[in-house]
Amino acid sequence: METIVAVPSTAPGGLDAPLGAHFGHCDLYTLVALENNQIKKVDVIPNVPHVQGGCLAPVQYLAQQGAKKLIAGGMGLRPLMGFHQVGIEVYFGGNYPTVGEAVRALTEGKLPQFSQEYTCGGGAH
Amino acid sequence: MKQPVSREPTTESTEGHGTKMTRRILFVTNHPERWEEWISHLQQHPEAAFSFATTFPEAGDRMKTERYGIGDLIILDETIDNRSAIDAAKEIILSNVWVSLALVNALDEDAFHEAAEGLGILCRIPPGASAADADELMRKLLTISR
Repeated sequence: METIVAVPSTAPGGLDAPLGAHFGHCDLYTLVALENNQIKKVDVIPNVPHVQGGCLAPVQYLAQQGAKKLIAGGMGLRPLMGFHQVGIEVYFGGNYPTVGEAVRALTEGKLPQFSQEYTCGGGAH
Repeated sequence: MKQPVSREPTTESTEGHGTKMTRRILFVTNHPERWEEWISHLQQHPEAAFSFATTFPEAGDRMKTERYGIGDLIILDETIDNRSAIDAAKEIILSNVWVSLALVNALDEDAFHEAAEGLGILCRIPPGASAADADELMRKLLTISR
């Protein structure tokens, strides 16, 4: 069964691109289709316009793209709760330099769930 | 004190040839009397269906029973039941991620952005807000929930 993993990325995206530092303000998203933990397909899609108070637009956008998992290096409380609401599992991959390495770590079970302690906010970011 | 109350859910209605979407706005404040004049500016916008909640538990109950969600707005006064607006916003987001939030806060824009980062706050409302602030709030709410 195919699972689409979304990774906020720095341009030009793809497996060799660095992770975007903050999911909502990244250049674009790399979508990695996994099947039996093997990479079957890699797509790059643009980010969506992000207005003040509009943190949930990327959440809904990625849900529409069929993403079931997301790897992020930084994210706020509201989008994290939004991903939980739409059924997308979020993982912390901020320690990995590229999309490909972060995805490999995910397939190896090395990425922690992105919990509230990782969220930015209140001057902690 | 006049406390106009709308408990109708966000609705779409036609006026003339256009269609207007009503946005429910719930202002959570322990001191509604201090905001009466500003609210009168807000209510000049036909899309605003405004009401007060005077305690945080009342606001929580209202959001749950009246099913506040996308297109609705909660305004949080600077301090509510001894918690800051930012702490109140975090509590709301944990239970209702879809509703929009605006916070009364005296910080300047940059400091507020830093303090509220990641909470997806629609806008800051300064204490002593003006009619222009009410207009700007409605403009942002209508833009984000168009």
